[in-house]
Amino acid sequence: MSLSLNKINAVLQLRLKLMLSNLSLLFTPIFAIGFVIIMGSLLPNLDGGEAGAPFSTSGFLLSFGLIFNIAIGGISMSSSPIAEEKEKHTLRVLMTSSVKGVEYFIGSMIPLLVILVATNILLIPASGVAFNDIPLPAYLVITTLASLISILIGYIIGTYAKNQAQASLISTPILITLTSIPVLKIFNENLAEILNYTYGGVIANLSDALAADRGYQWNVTDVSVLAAWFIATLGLFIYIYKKNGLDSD
Amino acid sequence: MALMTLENVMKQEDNSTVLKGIDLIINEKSQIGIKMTNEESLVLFKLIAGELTPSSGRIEIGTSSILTEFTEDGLYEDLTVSSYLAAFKKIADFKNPLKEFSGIFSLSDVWNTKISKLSLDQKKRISLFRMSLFSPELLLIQSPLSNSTAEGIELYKKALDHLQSNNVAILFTSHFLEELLLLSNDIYRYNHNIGLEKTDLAHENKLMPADETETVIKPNNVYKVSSKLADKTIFFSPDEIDFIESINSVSNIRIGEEYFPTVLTMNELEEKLTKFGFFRCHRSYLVNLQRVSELVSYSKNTFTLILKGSSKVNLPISRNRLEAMRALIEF
Repeated sequence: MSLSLNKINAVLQLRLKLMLSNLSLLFTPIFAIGFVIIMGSLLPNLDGGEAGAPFSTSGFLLSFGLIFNIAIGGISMSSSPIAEEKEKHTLRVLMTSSVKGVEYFIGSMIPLLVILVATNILLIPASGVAFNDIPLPAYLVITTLASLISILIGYIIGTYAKNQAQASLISTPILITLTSIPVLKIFNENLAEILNYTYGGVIANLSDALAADRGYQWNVTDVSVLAAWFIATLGLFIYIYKKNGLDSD
Repeated sequence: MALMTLENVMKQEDNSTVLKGIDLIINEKSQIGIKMTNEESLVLFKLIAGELTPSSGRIEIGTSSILTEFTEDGLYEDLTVSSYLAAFKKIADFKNPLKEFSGIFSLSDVWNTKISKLSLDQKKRISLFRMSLFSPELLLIQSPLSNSTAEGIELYKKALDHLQSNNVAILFTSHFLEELLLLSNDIYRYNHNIGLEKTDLAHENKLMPADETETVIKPNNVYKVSSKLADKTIFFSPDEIDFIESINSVSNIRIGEEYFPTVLTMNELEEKLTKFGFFRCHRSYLVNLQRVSELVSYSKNTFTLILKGSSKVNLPISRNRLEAMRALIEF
């Protein structure tokens, strides 16, 4: 299958124009930064070492912000446009205009990924974690891979759903589960162990380690969990896409 | 070579026949209209575009440059006309500046306006403009003029002339014959019992001069009921007509769900059509007996004729006319 860079570029520009003409899609990353700043000013500044409890305010805020941006932003920003295009019958027009499904997905993914990665970086100063203490390559690799996984989950939902209402309905339980991870990890040790095997758990571990000033060490579990999630979501997305097509109606 | 040839094509879906008896040749530059339902049109377009395989029959495809437009197709309403078309220009790899063509599609004055603020007429022309960027050889368009204004129709036809000058063939489908009369040179009607039937058309400006018609040999036993719509006169074979109804002293030919007015009176029509199996069942109705499926008696003196087809039309018949009908068809 040959892909056309020209068409990927055309879809990318089209998606950018649509984002700029309707800024509501950008609310989630903006809210992620805004919430972290507001919560940072409201919560007491606790540090695990001083209080004796395994809790750090800046770590919790970074973890919360990353989950908010990557899970809610990544999934909703990728599932909603596909569902909207199906509902408004614009996707069929695009598909019959010689654009292949893969070209559409790649072209739509690039601006989303750029926004998510930029927000992930901006969340570091917003949460109060020292920039100099961040091992940037590890941080970028983990958060970018997690963002990609979220985008793929969004694509699965968007490809499966027939309209925006159905996409929201399917997304809601997934988003609630993912956004609860940082809190659940604090209050239940057994559950925390299980959540370590979710990609949200890996993000929470990363931000905890950074905030506790322990420094983040690459480990086999985190890498394997992210790789397994990426392969599983990619495989499921390809299966759903082949089964349903992009515009099955 | 024809762009597309369909020979006795039949398509079944979910154990029911959606299309059958489709014989059609689409040549370069042709503008063909087919009267059919949206569901039938959807299947036909998918068969022609190669998205569906016919259950039986043969489709010979002479071009791969086919684009389809369905009534429900949407536009990116948040974009302006220029940015929407610019996106598709890039996809189509269209080289010429778009602005040059904005006048042809009568979009110059709304070039930088958001699509959501445009009228339905203007949106239809944007769709046509978008399709033209791909330099298609064959366009399949579903009911483009439904809910259009008179000005909108005129401007759409102007844009179609541009496409035709570029040798684009267009196949239109619509539920309404009047719409197809405005768009097409050849018109067919799809009848789910017999398939595709060609409708005879005579263009007002193409009628033969009187002196030439005098020398033409007149065939016997040929009769067609005519109805004049816009600048075209449409002819119906008696066997196509379900019944004729007099409404406000105007005789209206009823075919399927549609009415076509004719200048002939009910008496004149009765005289002409009796030999083709028509029967005056009521002062206001002349029914094609071949289309009658049931005779129902609701009371001692009230009888009703029920016609074939999905609409299940009921026509009144008086007791004395019933005796005449009984004598005629011997039941």
